[in-house]
Amino acid sequence: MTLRLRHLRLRALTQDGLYGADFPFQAGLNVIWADNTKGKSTSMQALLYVLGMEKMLSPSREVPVPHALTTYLLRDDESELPVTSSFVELEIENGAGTIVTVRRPIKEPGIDTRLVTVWFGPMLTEPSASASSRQFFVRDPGAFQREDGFLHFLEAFIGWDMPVVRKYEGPEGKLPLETVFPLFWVEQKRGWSTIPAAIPTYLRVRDVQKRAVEFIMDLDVHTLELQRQRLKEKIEENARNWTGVVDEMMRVARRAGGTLSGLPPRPTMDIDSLERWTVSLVQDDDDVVVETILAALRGRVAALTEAKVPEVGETADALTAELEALGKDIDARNQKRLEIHKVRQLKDADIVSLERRITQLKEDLQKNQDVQRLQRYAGTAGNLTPEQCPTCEQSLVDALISQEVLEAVMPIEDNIEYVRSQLKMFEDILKREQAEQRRLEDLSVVAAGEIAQLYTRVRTIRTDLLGPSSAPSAAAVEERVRIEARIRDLEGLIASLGDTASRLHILSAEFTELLKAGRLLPSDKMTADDKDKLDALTGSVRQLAQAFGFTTFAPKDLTIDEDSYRPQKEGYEIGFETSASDAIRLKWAYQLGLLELARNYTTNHPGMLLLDEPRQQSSSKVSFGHLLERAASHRGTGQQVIVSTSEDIDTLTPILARLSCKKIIFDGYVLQPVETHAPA
Amino acid sequence: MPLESLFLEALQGANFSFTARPEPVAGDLRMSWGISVVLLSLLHSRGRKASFLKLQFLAHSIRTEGSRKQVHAVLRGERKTSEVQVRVEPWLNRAVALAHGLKYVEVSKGKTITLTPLGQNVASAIDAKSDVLQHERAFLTIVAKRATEEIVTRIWRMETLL
Repeated sequence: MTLRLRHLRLRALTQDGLYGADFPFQAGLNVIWADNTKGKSTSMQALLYVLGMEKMLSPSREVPVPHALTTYLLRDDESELPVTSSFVELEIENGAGTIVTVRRPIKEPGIDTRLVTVWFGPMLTEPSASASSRQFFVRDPGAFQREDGFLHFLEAFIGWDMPVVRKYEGPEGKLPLETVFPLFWVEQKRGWSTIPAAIPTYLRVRDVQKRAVEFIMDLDVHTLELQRQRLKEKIEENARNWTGVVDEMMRVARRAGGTLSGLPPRPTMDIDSLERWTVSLVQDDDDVVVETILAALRGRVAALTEAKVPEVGETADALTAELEALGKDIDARNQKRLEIHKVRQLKDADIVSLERRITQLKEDLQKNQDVQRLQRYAGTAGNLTPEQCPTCEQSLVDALISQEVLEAVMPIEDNIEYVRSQLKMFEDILKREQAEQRRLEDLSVVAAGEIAQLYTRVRTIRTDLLGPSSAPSAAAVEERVRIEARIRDLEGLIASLGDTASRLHILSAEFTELLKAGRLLPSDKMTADDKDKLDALTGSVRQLAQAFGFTTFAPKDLTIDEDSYRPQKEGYEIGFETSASDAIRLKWAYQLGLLELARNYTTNHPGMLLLDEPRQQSSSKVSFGHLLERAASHRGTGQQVIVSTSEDIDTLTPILARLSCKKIIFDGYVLQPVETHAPA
Repeated sequence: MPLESLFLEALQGANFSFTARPEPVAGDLRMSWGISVVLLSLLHSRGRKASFLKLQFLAHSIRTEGSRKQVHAVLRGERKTSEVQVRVEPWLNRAVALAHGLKYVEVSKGKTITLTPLGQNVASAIDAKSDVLQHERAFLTIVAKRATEEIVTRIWRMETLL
């Protein structure tokens, strides 16, 4: 996780020859000094630009580099010189010691500014080196996702693996680099205004500030949160699948005229309970378990198989008696079917009236809610609910009916609740009635099937009785065939239900796994590691604030919020009560704190910090010196701090003299004529 | 012992007192709803005024979705005017009276009701709130102007039957 700037080079071709500037950076503190309006900002913007990070500043598609590198530059005698072409080059190094040189055109006729060339070698510090090169593109949407996008390359170069985050719309995506850079790259225009950083929100990442800080500090919070979220989704999906399977089994059972019971409606780990389901069929008005029916049927088949098929003559009397019994049975069943039909018609009417009632209640609820809103608007729209008669000043109740008949009118909020509960009640009744209606429908289907079978039997017996008396009794054979067919149907039903039920075993196993995974996730929002890091950051921010002369309150009262990662005092965010200079001191402390955290903990901080004009708002000279001192102390750690300033040179010189740092001083304009033999 | 009988036992010998509950009122019988409908009806009518007859007609037909559809059908010529039955809504007169008392409307000759400038302000403010009276407003923007006094009279008198 390291990004080190080694050398920045700006070049602009004018009719007067080549102009440009070179910034040789080192490890530790680098101080760039130039007077105001001499091209320092141009250089700093070009630095972001060459890394394709212009979207950190704004979503605009303009080249964010000021005129000096795009239209005209100013010479020391203040005369303007048109720029015909320009580019910027930057040599960077990562933690593995790999050095690459990046070049991006700012203005080059015929060349697309979205193209970035990368040489895999130190082309600026070792001009004689030769290295292979490759082109990447920036700024277009794919620059981060695609293999040939420069930001994709940069992510891998720094050694980052950006986490997947949720967006306000669209699918999840990687956390954009533009949201992380502001935490170590404080740009002068907006960068100083907020802590932790001026992170662009237009990229539509949810909780973008949090996500960026968590990434830089390498906290597990977000990973944990994401894991919890995913787990929850999986458990919900498991439950949905479970209900799906149970519903399917119910449907299958219902189609066969039966009801299924005993299955757990929600996912369970108890496998035994998965075996306890039963199907029962309606038989002679009773629910009978299908196994009992099967046993009876099998018994009957066995008996029929045992006996030889009788001749019609022998069984004529028995058949006649059976015919009579069947006639009565059919009559009784028809009667029952008729009753069911009647009940169903009544239910139909009930359901229609219930539905009408529900529609009315919904309309009334809507009106009640409108009334509530209208009452709320009373202040803006004018009074619509006078409490007293505007003419005679008698007190009024809120109703447009005769005032005498009402004792007390329900307040509108209660009335809404009242209508809601009525609505809920009627909706529940409707649900129950619909379920009952479905049951009746099933019953009538079963009854119709049974009656049809009885009629078939009647026809067979009649054929027997009309036939010659020596013929074998078809009725006996028919019964056996019918019962066997029924047995096959029922066995088929049980087998198909069993098949479906076996899917519940898979779901149950999955459910067990998910619960286990849930137990493995820590219950605390932050892991112990996360807490350590946050404490360490708090500690160093306090210490740094103290060193920089923070006075609004005692720095030891400073804490960092576990949710927003913003500095707080006694649980309150620090806002306007600090003076402008204290706000800047706190900002220094926070940004340096993040950098220093990376020394002792594993974080994703790239180990560099760029502060562009850190004295934008006034803060005393002493603390600016402290800032530089503190920043200079990073030399030995391999970290890099780059400070660009236009601080009064007389004040700065003695401070810099005390410190070991790289000074890059420009006396006049930053862009100066360069010898033509310089590599272009 | 079953739970139920425990409960019953606890009730035995206890003292009861009953408090009257405030009465629920249908949403369309609330002052603010009725007055708002009167104001919006006038706002969307030609000249910001209407006769009592027309207000009665609008007030009746605005109440339910069914009656709103019926009126739309009449105005489109799909139904005869005689198919619409208008009931006199007792709440309307009270709403008009209150609106008059609040100085939102003027009543001339006991017949024509006109929005006062104050009433216009209130009506426009309600009209500007997109989240209230959505169905009612949609109905009035179409019907209030098209249902001329002439059509309303015809509906009231069931003239096509004569």
